[in-house]
Amino acid sequence: MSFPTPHDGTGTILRFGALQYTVSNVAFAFTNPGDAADSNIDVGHLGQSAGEQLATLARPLVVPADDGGSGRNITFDYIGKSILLDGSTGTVYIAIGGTALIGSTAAGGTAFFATVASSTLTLATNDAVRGQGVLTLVRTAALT
Amino acid sequence: MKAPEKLIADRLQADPAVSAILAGRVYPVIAPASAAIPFATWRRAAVQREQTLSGPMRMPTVTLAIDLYAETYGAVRELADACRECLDGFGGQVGNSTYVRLVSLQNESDGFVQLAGGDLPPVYSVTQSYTILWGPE
Repeated sequence: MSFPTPHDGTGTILRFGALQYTVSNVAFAFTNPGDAADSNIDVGHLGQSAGEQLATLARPLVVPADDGGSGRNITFDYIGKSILLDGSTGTVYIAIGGTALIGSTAAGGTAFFATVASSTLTLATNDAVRGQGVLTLVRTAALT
Repeated sequence: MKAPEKLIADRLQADPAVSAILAGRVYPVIAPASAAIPFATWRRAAVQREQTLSGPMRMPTVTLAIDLYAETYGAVRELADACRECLDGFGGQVGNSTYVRLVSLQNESDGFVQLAGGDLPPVYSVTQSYTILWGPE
């Protein structure tokens, strides 16, 4: 039995915007925090009868575009002194062994746009400059 | 030799304060039986390499042990101080196809040993342990 590893083939690469990062760790959360019931607003009121189902409304501005990506987080550790600016947005592409995990580079594929939720850059003695970024997927778009 | 250790040994040999004591007697791993005292040897105690998800990071850390020998405790301490002044904090140097980023003294200990071979007297020793953060040129 053989299992995939992040080192298969050409290894795992992560691109955000125009830069490809040398990463030592990537964690991709598949939980969508804004999905489904979480998108509804509680509008229960005293005019409702006892035992009646709680009144809810869909949010007027739905954050998740229900496109399979929005709201999810990607946390990654990288080596290098690139600074991820808070709130900056770009396309994110992660591939394992040359196969895309998310994102695409080919026309007709789906691009994933992400926004930097937080980032750190660590400068320590006897070590390379290292950083960590947390990206939030905000929307997808078809590549032309 | 494409190794940062050789660059460090060359630096020791070129340093006026160290050279005034050792006169070039700096050897890899083992000194010849004919070597006059004082002398120094250097050896790799460990090499740490790190991987990324896309391949080797290519910035290893070598732990280099430098053993210093002299006939008196005062002399070997003086030699150790000269070596520390020469090497601790050294970096940003290219040579032997390597780029030494930082050399830092991590540990230092004293000893007293009977050298093997011939009628050599017991000598005092100091072992200095340095880490060398380096990468290819």
